[in-house]
Amino acid sequence: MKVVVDGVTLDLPPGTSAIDAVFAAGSDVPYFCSQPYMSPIGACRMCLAKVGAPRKDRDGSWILDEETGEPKIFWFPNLMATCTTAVMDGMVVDTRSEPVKAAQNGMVEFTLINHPLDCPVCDKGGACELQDRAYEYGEGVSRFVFDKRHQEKHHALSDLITLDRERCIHCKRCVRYFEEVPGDEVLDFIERGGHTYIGTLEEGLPSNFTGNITDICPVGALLDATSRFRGRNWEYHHTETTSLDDASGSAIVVDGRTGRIERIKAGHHPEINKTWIDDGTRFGHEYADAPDRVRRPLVRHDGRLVETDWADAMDYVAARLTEVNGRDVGIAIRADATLEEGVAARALADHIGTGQLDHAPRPAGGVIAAGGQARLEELAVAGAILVVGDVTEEVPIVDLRIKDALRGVTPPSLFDHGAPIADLRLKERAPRHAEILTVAAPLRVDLMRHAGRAAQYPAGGERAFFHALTALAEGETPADGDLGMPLEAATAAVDGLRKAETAVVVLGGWVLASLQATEAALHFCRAVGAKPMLLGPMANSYGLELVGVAPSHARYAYGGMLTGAKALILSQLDPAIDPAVAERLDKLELLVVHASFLTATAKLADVVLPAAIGYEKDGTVVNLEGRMLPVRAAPVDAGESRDLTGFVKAFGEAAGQRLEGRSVKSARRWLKKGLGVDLDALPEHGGWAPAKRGPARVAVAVHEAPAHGGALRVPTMVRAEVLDRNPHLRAATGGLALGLHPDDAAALKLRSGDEVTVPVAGVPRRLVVRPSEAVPAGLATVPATPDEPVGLVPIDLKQIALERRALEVA
Amino acid sequence: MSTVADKPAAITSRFDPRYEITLYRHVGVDGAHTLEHYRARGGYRAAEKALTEMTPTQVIDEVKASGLRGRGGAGFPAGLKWSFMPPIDGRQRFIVCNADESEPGSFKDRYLMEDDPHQLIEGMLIAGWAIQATIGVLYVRGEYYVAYERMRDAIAEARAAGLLGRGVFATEPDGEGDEATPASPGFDFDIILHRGAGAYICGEETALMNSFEGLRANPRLKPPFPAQAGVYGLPTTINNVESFCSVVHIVERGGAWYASMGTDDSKGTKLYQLSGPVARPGVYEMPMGATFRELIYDLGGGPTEPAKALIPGGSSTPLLPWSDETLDLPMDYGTMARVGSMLGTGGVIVIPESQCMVDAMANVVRFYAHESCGKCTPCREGVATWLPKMYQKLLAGLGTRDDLTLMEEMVRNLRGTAFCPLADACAMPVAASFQHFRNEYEHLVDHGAPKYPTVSRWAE
Amino acid sequence: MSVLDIAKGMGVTLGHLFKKPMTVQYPEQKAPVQARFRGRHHLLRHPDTGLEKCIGCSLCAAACPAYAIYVEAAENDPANPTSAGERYASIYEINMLRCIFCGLCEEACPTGAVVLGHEFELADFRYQDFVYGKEDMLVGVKGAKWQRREAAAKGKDVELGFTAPPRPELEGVDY
Repeated sequence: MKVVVDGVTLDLPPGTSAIDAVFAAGSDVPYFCSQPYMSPIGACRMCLAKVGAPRKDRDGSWILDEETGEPKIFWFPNLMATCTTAVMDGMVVDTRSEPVKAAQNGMVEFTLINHPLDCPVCDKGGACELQDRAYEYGEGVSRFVFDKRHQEKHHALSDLITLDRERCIHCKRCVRYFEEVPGDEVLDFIERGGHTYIGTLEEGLPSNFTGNITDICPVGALLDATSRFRGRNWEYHHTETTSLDDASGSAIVVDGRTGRIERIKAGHHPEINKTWIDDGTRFGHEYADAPDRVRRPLVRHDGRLVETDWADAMDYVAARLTEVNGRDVGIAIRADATLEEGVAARALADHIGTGQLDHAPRPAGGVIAAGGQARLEELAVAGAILVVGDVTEEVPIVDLRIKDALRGVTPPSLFDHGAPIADLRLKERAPRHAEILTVAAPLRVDLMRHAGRAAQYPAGGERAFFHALTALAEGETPADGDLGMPLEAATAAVDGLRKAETAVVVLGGWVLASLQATEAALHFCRAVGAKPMLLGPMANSYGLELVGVAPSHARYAYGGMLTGAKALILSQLDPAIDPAVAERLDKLELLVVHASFLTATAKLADVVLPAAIGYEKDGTVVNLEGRMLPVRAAPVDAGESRDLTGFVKAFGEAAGQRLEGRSVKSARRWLKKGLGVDLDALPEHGGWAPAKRGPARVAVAVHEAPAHGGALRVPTMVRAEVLDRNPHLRAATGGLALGLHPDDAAALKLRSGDEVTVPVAGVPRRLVVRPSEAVPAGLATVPATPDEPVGLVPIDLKQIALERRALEVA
Repeated sequence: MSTVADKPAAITSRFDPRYEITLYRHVGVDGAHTLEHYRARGGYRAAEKALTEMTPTQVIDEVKASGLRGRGGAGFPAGLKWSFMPPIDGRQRFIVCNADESEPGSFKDRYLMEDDPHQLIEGMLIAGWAIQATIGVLYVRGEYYVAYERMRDAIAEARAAGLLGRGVFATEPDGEGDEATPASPGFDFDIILHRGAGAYICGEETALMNSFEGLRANPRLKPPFPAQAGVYGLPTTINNVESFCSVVHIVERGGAWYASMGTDDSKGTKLYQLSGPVARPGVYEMPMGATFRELIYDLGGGPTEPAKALIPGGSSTPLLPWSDETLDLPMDYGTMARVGSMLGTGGVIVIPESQCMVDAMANVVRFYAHESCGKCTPCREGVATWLPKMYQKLLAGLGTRDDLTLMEEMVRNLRGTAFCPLADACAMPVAASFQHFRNEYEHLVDHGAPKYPTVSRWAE
Repeated sequence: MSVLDIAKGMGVTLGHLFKKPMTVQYPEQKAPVQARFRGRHHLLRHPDTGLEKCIGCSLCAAACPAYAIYVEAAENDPANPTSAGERYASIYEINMLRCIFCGLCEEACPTGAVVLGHEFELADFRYQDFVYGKEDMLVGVKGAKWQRREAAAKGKDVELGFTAPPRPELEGVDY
């Protein structure tokens, strides 16, 4: 459609909003209430412009202007809010004439009359839309001589978010966000007229995606509590990188100041997380600056770990390694290491000459499906979705993209100015197609609230569940009880998957934990023509499998090397939390631990090397769809911490070798040669990983013992292993939870909030009791960590020890 | 305005022989609200005619032919609005009656509901048939408790009599052979009675729908219009009480009869409400295009004290100065628009000479400030915050000439910029008061005291 | 050049021999400074409540052309506030070696908390002694770091080497 904005003629698709036409033409109108990926509502009235359009006569021809002979432009009697006006053919928009300026000016004045203008103490100052717009469109003086509205200035909406009600300009972005994006209606306007304020019905914000409202708030009303007063916006160093907290590869911006990470904000990746991230990713950064971080290498002298430098420590390691047969050395890295670190680990293993190389956690079923897997964009438009697992906790962005599919609006195409500012297809309180979603899990999970069908199969019954579904798909009657839902519901789910143009089956960690369950699931996908989406346990599970950070034989896998190897090099892993493993590690000839904290394993080590955390690395990760994404280091003071490439460089120098993977650059040379990808030329939004696997090594499945036991290790959105070092998140989550059915808790005489220690698969876990109807009777849930991956494990509830009684609530 | 609350016997013009009373023929009659009374005087004959003898399209055509314009204030042609409903596609359709009569100066719907509830039910039944909506929603203003009770009882009565519910006017097969009329299943129609909680904004159609759904009463974005997505996102038509009542007579006596009354662009009869210092305030039914003089002098008995202005259609319409020309203006949509005002609901308020105009406008502004929903910036900050404060300042004798300029500019900024018409409703009368009575404002700021003493009738 | 010119020149010299000398025998004698003189900064307090005026907004640091100022803010304890409002400066440092005494910080300050005073005797020996913190600049602290150090060693009061007329912005500063 032909649209003329301030004299610039554009050709735009129908349905485009006038505000996007204005921005596409390079003109500008101010706006506060519109927000990309959310419905336009026209509440702030800032984006007013003079709009006109030609009209057609009764006979279908344009009414012509008598003077010019061109179609006559009929101007609308009032100025139009461009965010809620759709473009019409021949429409003319004027954003620069006097009445428009006067109106915009007037709106700025109205907006500011009740705004406290406490910019110097406001954490939004310098990055505030109202500040910018007031500067660009305001008069600079106020004619409002009365007292401003006084309301609560420091209202803790939750442990993570502070609300300043005086600063609120009622744009309704936050209220709409909760209804439209995560679908949790936890915030609304209260009162009316000049007394309107936002608030919650209950205490806190019961949603997993609350932090995004601090990003979209156009003023400093909603602020991140973790970065409260930590710095001004112009002082922050913004690093656009990829989150290493889960396998989604969400774009984040790390804001640091004077060597500290002060906050994380959502980045923009239109095909992955759009502009949303979960609270675990956003608020879970405080551990990076924890006071007990290991900042210098430590070497054991006379039984004590003594600080030294990298060269000394590596001389020691290289010398000691010569005493051990290379084949007896085990190397294990955590699955959120970058591709480059994976290359470094391989190079190290090759140099030492060991086949005992692995990454952990590594699910038995692998994370790369042979026939290709669904992309997040496909998930967002899928006509039928089956989820097995707790995606909200495993990869929260997948949860949001599923909710996109429920709304049934395809992702918008981008303009030069980015995502559409006002996507007119999006509506407030749009109906959701819950019927396309089926969620199955051994316990009641959050996503089930949004699902048309929910199935609760017995814990550990993933394989049987998929066998039963496959039987249904093949026209047979499945065994009773395996489905966890009525037969009709299961039939409807299977039919939906089969009929949908795009059908996706999301496989969570409980499925991938078992090779047989994964195979059953992939078989089912083929049977109904659905694409699988495998949720890897950590940020680079896909990449490390791709590069081949894997043992040369099944018995050399991580679990095996803990018992079989004589010397171990462990990066960021902490197996010694299991006392039985700790006992074995203590007897090793050499234990080198590359860790950020003095973990149980590091305390046993001969050498501890400070490891860089995800925000401190440069490199590349491959997310669960197989998309390579850049990781960039924020300027953070992490002492002498290095990533694995730095480790290998120092080791090579000590050993007198120039090892491959001694730097990000060198690792990339290897990747270019080995996989044929040029990571230096990676596009801004990443690129697809090659189908080709890394040479030489083949991923071998870990030997799979049948899962049994009374405890289900569940994924958590927060990094469970460092939760104690994330004080804000810890306060918000209430600590790591031992989920019990209320009856089971009552039988154990435990009440909510009790702190207990209980052995789970031999590991004593300190947990907070949380009785919940969501957990089936007879099952306990404990949070998984990288060293204790998801799955069914034994628990000894008889040995539960009460550490601290919760206060009785009257 | 005590004359409005207690209802004098002569509130209607039914004793005036010049005008035929249709809508208000039962108003003021004892016991008129019962089904028995209504049916005894030909009630539900129009509905029976529409449902058994006419197709929905015929009903809509009849209403179009009558030229009936919506009586809620905006004056949109009712038949045209009904024809906007999408084709029947199996979705539930709604007919909504806006009985949230909250405009200051308007009180016609109240008596229609209190004294003649069955007329409204019949009108909704006919409209429901016309647009094939099986659910009617009657949203009654929260403060109208008697009206609510009468409507509640009347709906129960109608249900018991089979005039609401399943198979309204169902017929058995009649006759034999070729002349037999087949059985008709009748029309399924019922009314949900909903009582508002007392918010002026709920008179805005989309806010009313939100309120009915249990949501915050904020106006919705249009488009989509109610015909596409109304109550619960389903096709909906919404009209005023008076419009529905008029439909009964249009169907009964034909659109042509209705169109024979009134003026070129405004047909039929209209309920005019007269308040202020006049001898006989009340609701008067007159053909469209009757003049102010007829209403105020002939029916209302003339002002009891010298008047200086009149508000033609409820507090949201710009006032007109009192003059012979004004009094001779016909009260119809076109004329009112031509002189820069609106017919609105037809609530004529006479403003006496002794009334301080600034004070009167302060009262109007206070009302709209209280009723602003807070959704959009100009209304929340301008109407609900700044403007009332400016009036407070003026009336406290602290105003300056600059303040008047500021207020005029503010009012200009409010016009046409807000999300819904509430801000306009506040800005237009204020702008008109500045246009016609700027001298009173100037007197106030120059002397620190109003030209006319602020009278107790406007007091808090 | 004539003899007359030489005589003229000599005359000027001669004339100065009988004028009052400009030289001030500093430090024995106190140097007078003008009211407009800009020396090292003072951090002021509200005279009535005693609360610090500084709210830790960092605008001075943003305005500083020499990057001499570093501020870290924190939240006030409502029971025992440091400054008025929610926010105060937990760290406020000015590097006097970097400072060019331009006064832009004073202009940028929204609360009038940082004001350039008259003290100019800032020479010291070690780099870290040029970094002045809150404890060195808050109202009531007299003298540069070295002056206070020496005074403490000698058990005397700090003696400043100048006299200055009062300036209204320097509320509560006593020389």
